[in-house]
Amino acid sequence: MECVGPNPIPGGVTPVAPHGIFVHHNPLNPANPLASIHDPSQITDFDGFVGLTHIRGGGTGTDSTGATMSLAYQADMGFSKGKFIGTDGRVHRGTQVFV
Amino acid sequence: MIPTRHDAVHVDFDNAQARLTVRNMDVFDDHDLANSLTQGLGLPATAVPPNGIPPIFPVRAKVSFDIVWNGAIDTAQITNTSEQFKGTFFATQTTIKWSSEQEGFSFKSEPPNPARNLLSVLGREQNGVFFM
Repeated sequence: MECVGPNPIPGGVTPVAPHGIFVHHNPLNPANPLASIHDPSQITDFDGFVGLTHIRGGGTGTDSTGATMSLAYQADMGFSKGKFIGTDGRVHRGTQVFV
Repeated sequence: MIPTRHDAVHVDFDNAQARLTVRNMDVFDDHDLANSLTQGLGLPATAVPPNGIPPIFPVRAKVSFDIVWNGAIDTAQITNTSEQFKGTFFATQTTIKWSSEQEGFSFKSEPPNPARNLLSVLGREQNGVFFM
């Protein structure tokens, strides 16, 4: 585990427009071909493996009384594993997850 | 991004496979994306939709997940000079199993189901200063 973190990619999206909150993340769009994806990494100055998912599904929630309910979920998660230049300007190796 | 153990991720890139396994990661449940981005402050109403989102105080939670990227559906060699990244990328079959626990509530996903995958990518890439 690293003590020094990576820097974010310069690009990303503004998911709650018009409030202007910028997120350094490019969600996968199933309508776009693989060759047209934006950078799937959330960190820059990076050399390594990256994984990203866009999955929807269902599951079961249970409250404090034990009552259960069917719920839907959407996951936009991934990882970066490899070499990166940290905020200290030095080369590090590490693994980060995007939750 | 949350730093995690190196062995949380195993990659077999030649076979377009990877697995991310995390148990009991401490996170905040922020209820919705807007409160996650504003750390529970919500969003004010505007003249343009979407309307405001009320603030919701985050609660501590633990999440566990097991994501499997399992074989190539498509392959692309990408060099994107405007975004300064390049690499080899696979669109993959992918499944996820995840659960969460917090005071008074827990959630468990259905069994992993490849049919739930909308789009997942596994790549070997270089960006930023490593984009040459």
